[in-house]
Order: sequence, then structure tokens, then C-alpha cells
Amino acid sequence: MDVRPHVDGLRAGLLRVARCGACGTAAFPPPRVCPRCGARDTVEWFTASGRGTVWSAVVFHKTYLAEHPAPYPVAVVELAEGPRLVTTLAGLLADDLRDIRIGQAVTAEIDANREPPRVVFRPDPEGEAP
Amino acid sequence: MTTPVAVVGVGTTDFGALGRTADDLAGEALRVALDDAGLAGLDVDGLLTHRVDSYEGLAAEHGLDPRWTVALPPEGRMTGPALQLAAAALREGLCHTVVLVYGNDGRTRGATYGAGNSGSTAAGEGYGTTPALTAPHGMTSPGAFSALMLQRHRHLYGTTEEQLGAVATTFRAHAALNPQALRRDPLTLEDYLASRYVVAPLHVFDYCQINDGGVALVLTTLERARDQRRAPVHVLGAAQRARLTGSDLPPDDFWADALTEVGEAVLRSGGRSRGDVDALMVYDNFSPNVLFTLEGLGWCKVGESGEWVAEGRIALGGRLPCNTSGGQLSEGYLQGWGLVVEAVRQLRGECGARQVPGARTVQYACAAPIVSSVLFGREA
Ligand SMILES: [Zn+2]
Repeated sequence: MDVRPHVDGLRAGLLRVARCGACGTAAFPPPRVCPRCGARDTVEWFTASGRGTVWSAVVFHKTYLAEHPAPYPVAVVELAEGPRLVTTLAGLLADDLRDIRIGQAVTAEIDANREPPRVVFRPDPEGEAP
Repeated sequence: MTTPVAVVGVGTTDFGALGRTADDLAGEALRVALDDAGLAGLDVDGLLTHRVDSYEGLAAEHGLDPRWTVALPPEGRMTGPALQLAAAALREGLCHTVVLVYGNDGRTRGATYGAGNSGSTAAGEGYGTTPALTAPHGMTSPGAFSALMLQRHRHLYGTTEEQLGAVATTFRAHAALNPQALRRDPLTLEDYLASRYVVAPLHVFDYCQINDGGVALVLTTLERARDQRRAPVHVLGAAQRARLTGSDLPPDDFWADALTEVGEAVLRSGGRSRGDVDALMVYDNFSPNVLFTLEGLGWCKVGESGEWVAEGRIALGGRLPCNTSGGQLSEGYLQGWGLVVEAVRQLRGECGARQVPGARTVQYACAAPIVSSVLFGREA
């Protein structure tokens, strides 16, 4: 799926994700046909608030890829606007899954200086998102 | 089903690190399966290959010029659909005797399922369609996808590591009764809990054993099956449901809706009810999928599978013996085909110490972005 607007957005410091322009269903990465309403080529990019919650998380203890030495966390974050992202959590002890609470409120931080750029999420100081 | 279809031959090779090619192993399994059925290559007019490198090479080598040839991509989710497709071809009269041939040299090839060499598409290295979104975060491997699902399940339902551990320890105990299984040494819950994490919350024993091996089955119409040397094992139903849209992320329902649909479809097709199922062969590439499959098929309520397996129900002698061969966790990873063969052997009563007494109906099910199930029976 075409995610160049997302990647270009990150490079510009923006978290851009997509929804169906016909029915509003969050769809990211964006398919050309909406699985909910069947609309074709109505992908609508928008800039998300960056607020979200942790939907699930894991900790890699095996190094599969040299550029990602274990241990490191990987999370799925659900944005306030609906789309979910595979991402990294910042500011945690990297190797203990018990430090990551599902439902935890998090906020996006864009690292635009990496190539490719990426968005990570940092747990909010306290509380869960409403 | 209109024209009944039956399995009349099965063949397996050794499993393990064999240093042989997928096609060589597939070819050996093909010969064993034909011998088992009492058939020759010239009797075959349908060929379905899975994960072999060259269906053409395989057919040429083994003297096959079928009326019907299909080659499927290497993902294990294709095994149920392969059986469904072959059965449909037989019922439709497109051919009368199909060999389904599978070969895997993943162990020799150094498959990692996460860092390359799996011989598979992107879906084999890490689920989903869009590596541009996942690679920058080091998200790779189907196991990590399963781990994300399990951690969500733990959050929603309180599923514990001890409960999940019952899957690996139960299947290991089954493997001890199967001379062909790769992992046969005892595994206690304490061993499991003390073992290393690969992608937490999954321990190393939650991962299947990457393996080399070949498997083949011979399917034919019941009309012909009656003349074969083996008692036919009936294909009572086969169904699939894709969950390919949104497959970049773990499914909210752990594939339960699709599992319910295919489970009901195969029982309806076979004129059976769930209570008739004597054993379940469940796609255990990673042990959480066993939990999700039990819930989706309705063996327990959503969220209660941890407790269900921890209480011994999936062990031999339990209500629903699962993966009596040791499954992919302990017998070896053959992408569902080993489980299918175990279903056939159980229904033939060939399983010796691990035989489910009086098994008459055995189900195969796979929870994956293509969910599938196949129901087998000793009687039509
Ligand atoms: Zn729509």
C-alpha cells in the first residue's frame, strides 16, 4: 500500500495517517478500496493529534536484524482518531514487558532525522486517555 | 457434499535437519503416499504442490501428466485451502485422483521467519503488507505478531503464562509417544517458565520447530476409494474465510468470527455437531493460536481458553485431544500437513500409544489471515 504521504509527513515533523473519505473509517495503511463501504480511491490523509493508547506490546529478546539489536519493545498504538500503528515506545526500560501497560496513554514523538524517519510514542506522565 | 471424497494414501519422510531439497523430500513423500494407497503415478490425474520449488520438476521426475495441476504459495495458511480445492476438483469431476505434495527445506536453508531465508513471501517473514511501516521499528517475524495478539488477550482476559505453558507441555507429552517427533524429551511447566523469551511474552517453547520434511496425501472419489487397499478417510467438509483486509495489524477478535464461520461450515457439511469431534489438529506455529482456535470454534467462551487448556482438556484422555503427534511445536513444523496426516492416522487407528480410542471424527483448523478448517471422518 502507498504510505509515501505518511513517510513524507514524518520527514516534515507531521504524523499523517488516513481514513476513508466516503465513510470516515480509519484505514492505515490505506487500502485503495475501503473494506467497510467499498468506496474506491477515496483515501483521505490527515494530521493526527499524536495522542493515543497502547493497544498491545511485546519485547524482542532475539536479534533478527542487525540494525535492531535486542532487547527492544514493539507496540501497537491506537491513535485517538482511530488508526493503529506499529511503533516503538520511548523512555522505558527496554527489556521488561511488565513496564508496559496496555491502555497506557502515550504521545507521539517524531524522529525526523533518521532515515527513514519514524514516529515513536512516549508514555504520558499519568493516567489513561479518556 | 455431493460426490464424496476420501484420503486413501498418506506419506511422510523423516523430519529434522536433513540437508535435502524441498522437492527431493516432496518426491519421497509422494512415492510413500502412492505406495500407501497402492497406486502408481499413472493412476494420478491431479497434482497440487505446496512449497516445492518446481512443480514442473516434481511432475517430470515422477511421471505425472495430470489433467489438473495447481501450485500454491508457501505460506502454511494455504494447507486447508489446498485440501478444499482438491476436494472441489474431485467433486466437480475435473480429475479423479489427486496427489497433494508438500516439501520443506526450511531448516537446511536456514529459515528464520523474521530475518530472511524462509523461502516465503513478506507474509512469511513478518505478517502484513507494508514493511515500510514496520521495518523502522524492528517489527518482524510471525511469532512477534502472535506475541502481540497474546499480550492483548492477556490484558483483556487475564490469560497467564502458566496457562499458555500448558499448550507446549501437553504437546510435548504427546510427542513422547510419537517416534517421528523431533522434540521428545520431557518438558515441565517449570522448564517452560524458566526458558528464554524470544519475543516476550512468548517463550522459546511457544515456537514451532523449524524443520525439513515432506508430506503427501492421495485424495480420490469415494467410488474409487472403495477399491483401494486402505480404509478411506472421508473428507467431510472444508471451509475457509480470509481476514486479509487490515492484516497489517493483529485482529481485534483473534480471528474468532472467521473461525466460528469455518467451524460451523465444516460441521454442517459433514452432518456432524461439535460434540462429535473426537480430536482437533490445530495449527500451532505459535502456541497462542491454539487458544484463539479453541475459542473461535466454540470449545470454550471467548477469554476462557487459558483455563480450558490448563485443566487438561487438550491432552490425550481429555475432552478434546489436540495435536496428538506433538504438533508443530514438538513433532515438527510442516505447515499443517503433519497435522493433517495425524488426523488421517488417528482415523485409521494407526497411532499406537497416542491413539485416541475409537476416533471417528477429527478436525483440522488454522487461525491465520486465511482461516480454514477441514473435517475428516471414518464414516461418510
Ligand atoms: Zn469507507
